[in-house]
Amino acid sequence: MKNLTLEIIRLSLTFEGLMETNQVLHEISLNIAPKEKVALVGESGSGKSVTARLILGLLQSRAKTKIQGAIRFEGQEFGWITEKERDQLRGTRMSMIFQDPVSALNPVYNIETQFHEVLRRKHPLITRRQVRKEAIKILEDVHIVHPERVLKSFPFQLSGGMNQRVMIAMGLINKPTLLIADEPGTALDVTVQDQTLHLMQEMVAKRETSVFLISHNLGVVREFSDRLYVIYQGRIVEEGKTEDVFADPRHPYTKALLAAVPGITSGNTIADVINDTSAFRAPKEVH
Amino acid sequence: MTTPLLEVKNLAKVFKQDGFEINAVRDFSVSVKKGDCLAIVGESGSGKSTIANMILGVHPPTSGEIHFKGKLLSPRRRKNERRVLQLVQQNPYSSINPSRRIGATIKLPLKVHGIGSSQDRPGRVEELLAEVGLPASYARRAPSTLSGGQCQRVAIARALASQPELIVLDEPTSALDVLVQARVLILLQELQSKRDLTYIFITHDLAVVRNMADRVAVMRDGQLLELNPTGKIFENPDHNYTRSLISASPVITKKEIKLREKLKAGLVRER
Repeated sequence: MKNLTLEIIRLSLTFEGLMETNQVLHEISLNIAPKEKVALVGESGSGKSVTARLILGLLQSRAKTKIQGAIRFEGQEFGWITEKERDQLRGTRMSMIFQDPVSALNPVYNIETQFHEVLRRKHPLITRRQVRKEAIKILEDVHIVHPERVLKSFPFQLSGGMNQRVMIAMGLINKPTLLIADEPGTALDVTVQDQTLHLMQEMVAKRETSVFLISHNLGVVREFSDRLYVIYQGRIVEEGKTEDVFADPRHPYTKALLAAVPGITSGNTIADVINDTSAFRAPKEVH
Repeated sequence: MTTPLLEVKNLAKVFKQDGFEINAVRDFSVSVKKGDCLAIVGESGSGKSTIANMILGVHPPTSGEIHFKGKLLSPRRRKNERRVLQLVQQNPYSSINPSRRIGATIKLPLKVHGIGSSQDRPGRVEELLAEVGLPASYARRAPSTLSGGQCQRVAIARALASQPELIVLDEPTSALDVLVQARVLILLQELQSKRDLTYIFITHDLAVVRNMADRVAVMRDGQLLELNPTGKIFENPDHNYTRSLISASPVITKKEIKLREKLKAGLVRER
């Protein structure tokens, strides 16, 4: 048996309210092999981000939350390890980059302090000098021209694209085995988004990191991921190799999603969007 | 020749801050015919929103003139001049007052511009809601109970309420999911032909531009690089920067990949 980086088995998540319970994930199963880039595609409210939070172990200790099924990270079953052990994984073995880099970074600390904080999670006794050395090295890797100046800057003094690069660098500096990317760069321009994707591709190839990409942008998913899962209302409706799914979408929801993307070739290609969503509940398609 | 609906001549805007001068927009000229859709594209910081704000009268231009139906618009707008130019913004959750009911939000422009009598305003609100595809009962609901797409429809209804002739759409679908985006774009197209509206569509999403716009203005660093019909922009753009913008947009079909590669091949590396 090969060792998977991440394995999610029949995971369900229910939030219990005062009056009603709300099941947001319905027995989803997915896995990510080492060095693989896997995407989870869906609309807002489909359960993409809660899946990421569960992988990071951020919802497990929340009250009124019922979790069934299993999450295994590098063979470690999440249900069996303590909260402290889970906490140890975050920022070291797994890390996350967010949609909007400007709001994800702390505005009151300069970049160097924030790098220090990240590095300290793995090496608690690291010195300032080592921090600076490591940070400069990785900032050069993400093509930042004056790393010394950037380290002294605060996030709001840098452009969106620079912040995005800083965040990728911070996410990868501890050499995690899994990088979770929640809509990276979509808050920014196309050109910056394009750069972000290429940069992530380059960096994870160099460092042999697996990536779990969460996105609603099908173009981004097609360009970035090896495999994808389509999620609709907390259920995985289609999975397969990226090229297979794009060449031959089988589930009605996947088809509707693909038809709704405006194209750049000839005019007026927005097809009439299917308003009948009952077909979207069809069983899962696997390529 | 008929006079264009909107004519912008040599528009420029300089922001002054801490002794620095920022040329947000330099020498921008364009004319828009009635019923047309002009897209303004560019990266953030390229000056596209500043142009929109000057057209709407939010900032006075540093120099240049804005003519609407052949008449010069002064920086201080009269009420009627404000009525005919409306705006739909990117994020409906922040552009709609969260503590007002939907009906009150749509009714306000009717009141301000004295459209109809106060008795028939609720009826008009219902008509406007129906026009954007929302049930009349939504007038009593609060914005927080609506989804993003529904909120954006309310924002569109509010813009329509004052019977405008030109609507500035500032990234109207960037915050929405693809399926919702497609529905809102279809709605915008329907409204445009039904009401003979003129759109100025500000966005960085070129695929949306391809489907909506008649002409495209490409901006960078406050300068207009290229102004051409949409077909030409996507098949044989004049400017290198336009090519690189299109090459950077993510696509999903084989046909699109081909087009992108063709444009990339024509890309002469600057620097």
